[in-house]
Amino acid sequence: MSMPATSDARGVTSARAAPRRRLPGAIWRHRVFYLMLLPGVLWFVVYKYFPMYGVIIAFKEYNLVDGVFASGWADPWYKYFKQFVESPYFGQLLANTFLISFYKLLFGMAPPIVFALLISECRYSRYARFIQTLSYMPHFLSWVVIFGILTAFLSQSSGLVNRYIGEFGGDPVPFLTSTDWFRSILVGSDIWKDIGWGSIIYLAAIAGIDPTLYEAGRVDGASRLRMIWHITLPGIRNVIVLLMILQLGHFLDAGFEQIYVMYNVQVYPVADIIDTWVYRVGLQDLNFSLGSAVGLFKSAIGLVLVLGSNALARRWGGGIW
Amino acid sequence: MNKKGIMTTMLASAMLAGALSACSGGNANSNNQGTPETSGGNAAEPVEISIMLQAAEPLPDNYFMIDELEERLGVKLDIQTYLPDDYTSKINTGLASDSATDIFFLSDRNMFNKLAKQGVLFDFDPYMDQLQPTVDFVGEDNLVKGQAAGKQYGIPQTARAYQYSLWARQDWLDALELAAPTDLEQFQEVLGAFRNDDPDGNGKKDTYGYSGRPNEALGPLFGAFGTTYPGYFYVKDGALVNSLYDPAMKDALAYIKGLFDADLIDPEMLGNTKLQHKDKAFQGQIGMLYFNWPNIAREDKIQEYKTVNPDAEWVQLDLPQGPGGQYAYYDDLGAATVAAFPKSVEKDPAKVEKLIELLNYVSSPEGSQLVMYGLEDVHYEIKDGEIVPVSDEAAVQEAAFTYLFQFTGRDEMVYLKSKFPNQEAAYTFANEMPLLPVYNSFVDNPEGYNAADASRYMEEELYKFLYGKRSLDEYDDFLNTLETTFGYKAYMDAAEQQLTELGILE
Repeated sequence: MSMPATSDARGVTSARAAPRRRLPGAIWRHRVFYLMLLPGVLWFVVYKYFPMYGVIIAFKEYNLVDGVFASGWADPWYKYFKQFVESPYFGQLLANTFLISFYKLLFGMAPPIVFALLISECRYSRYARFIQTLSYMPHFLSWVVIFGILTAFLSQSSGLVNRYIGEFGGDPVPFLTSTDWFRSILVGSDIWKDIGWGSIIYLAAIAGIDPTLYEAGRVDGASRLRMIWHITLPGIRNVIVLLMILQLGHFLDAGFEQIYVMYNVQVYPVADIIDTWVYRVGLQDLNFSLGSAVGLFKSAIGLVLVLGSNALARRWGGGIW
Repeated sequence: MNKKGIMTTMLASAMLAGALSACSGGNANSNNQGTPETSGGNAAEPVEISIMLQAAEPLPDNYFMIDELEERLGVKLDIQTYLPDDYTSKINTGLASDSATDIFFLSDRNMFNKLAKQGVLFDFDPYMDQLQPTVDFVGEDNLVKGQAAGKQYGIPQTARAYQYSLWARQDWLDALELAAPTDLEQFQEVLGAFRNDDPDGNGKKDTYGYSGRPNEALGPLFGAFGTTYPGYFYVKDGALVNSLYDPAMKDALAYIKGLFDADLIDPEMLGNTKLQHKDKAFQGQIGMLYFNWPNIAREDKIQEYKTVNPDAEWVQLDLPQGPGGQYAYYDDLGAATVAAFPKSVEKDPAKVEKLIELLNYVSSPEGSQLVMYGLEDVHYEIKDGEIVPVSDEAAVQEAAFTYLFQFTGRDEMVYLKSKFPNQEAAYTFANEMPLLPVYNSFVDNPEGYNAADASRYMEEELYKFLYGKRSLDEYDDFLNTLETTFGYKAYMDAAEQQLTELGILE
């Protein structure tokens, strides 16, 4: 919205060649739009930017009584970053966080796209809509419930899958308690949960593709697969890149809630991520400063990833800004 | 606001004064101080008291107990309930933003210590005389659990009865013609029979000997060697010992490892974080369980496992006797839920007065009866001198929430007897389980010691030893890594110094 507005404004000002400075004039001319923008900007300032002063407790000996400003500075100022980096588990935490995030991104990107393509190609619209609605359902389940379902299927002693394996003479597989399987289960259940929800935005993008392109393709004798490859996928390319960049911003999150519900002592070596560590350390020691320091560390890396990937995408002609 | 309001308040406080002096002659002192405050010049507005409670379910709207306490004490109550997960963070944010409730409850000793050190908790010391009825109720010896740095920062609740014990399938024992095990050798034999001799007679090897939660189930086995889970401090032969360094620890690990090696224990025990072990046991996969009686002995639970198998019969077993005696688990002497006030209430003496009155009231015979059972003839009746629930199901449901108001705890055995008359044998048995007294809650972590990392390492290595993924010969290497990489040496030194200062070693 804002892009055409400003270019239009520029066009108009230069056409009149007024001696007035450009920006204030442009703002004044489009005051109604800016006025409409104001509540949104205010919301961000009040709730997103203003509270940011709190990050300074990452550098302080935060004390509840003294509050954010009066608490003394940590000595040295990087004390809590140091504590994080010097934890014997630092390397493992970082590796786990990166790997789980990477797998989720790698294996989680395609399924919603494929699903959206399948839905949009389905000829019986009623059936498609039914399947689509059904596929949203898991998104609204909490991880505790999903873990319950997973246990029913994958438990080593009582799970359905292991019963089948047992019937065919195989050895039961400890899906939920073995380091070999845990990450696959994590990524798999994550994809299952959000495949339908994630496809919504792709479906919307597919719906926005000019139908005349398909008509032209059909006239030229393109098969359905050809049309998907040459019309649909290029049509939603920008959306795919956009979602990927946005997801990169959360790269170090890796899904705290899911892992917290599902992990146990046996799988710590492959499952413990930065957030679960902060939760354990922070909760036990009321260490707000450490929590903030790690949060800041994660945000900084997330910011670099978003900026970097956008720069890369722009080079290929598809950046967000 | 209006005349009627003033009248009610004054009437209420007059009634309260009458009620209190009638039921507890000993604290006339505090009554005399309390009454003029409320019925005096500025008694128009009742004192407002906010309380934060931890509850799995929200309180019903307009709960009768709130009205009842408001009327009896002449206060205005603002009760906030939070889920256990949110509770701690709510306290923290409340204290940080100076908006904490007037009463809140802390069950984590470490957090209690931290808050006390930061100076955000109210110091009860100058008010202990007035709190005498409460002190009598929770017990003088108990008070140390609410102390930090020698000051009384919290009022500990009365101790709860221990609920756990060993449970076994009597029908399986009968089918295999086995007696209940009395020592470790028999214990292993019974587990072996449960695993290998097809106790359910279905021709498949699909049963396991033992299960429970990973942080509870091994208690009786460590206990038989006179020790407990790694990292706990206790006194043995007049010396302070950490279970990690107790020679009995290695013997215990070797024995438990034998059970794992023989595949007698639920292979997913480490994943039993909620009620998975109970479900498996009720489905007939487990022969012996370490768990709490409310999950097994209550009528609805019996119904639950009888539905799966009408022959199933779970009974409580005595602990196996080992070279170190018999202990079911450990009992952390410093751990208790304590009621605390924020320091900021100090500025309002009238409020402090009322808060103390409230604690004293729920500790008085009359008040504690109210918060244990509700109202007479509404929620309970007295038959032949015993308290029994009324037959009205809805009223019993309503009374189910009164426990939230037991701010200073309850007379546990009396309470259980009237609420669960049919489970008396089960809870008495569990409550008599011998527990190894440990002192960990009294230890304040030294600066720079990361307790979370160290406990993760201990836990992980413990299970590596038990599952045979690491040889027990490397036990000393394990201790060495713990001491150096994880800073356990500093913790040990600090703990020994602090515990000696506390006078635990006479």
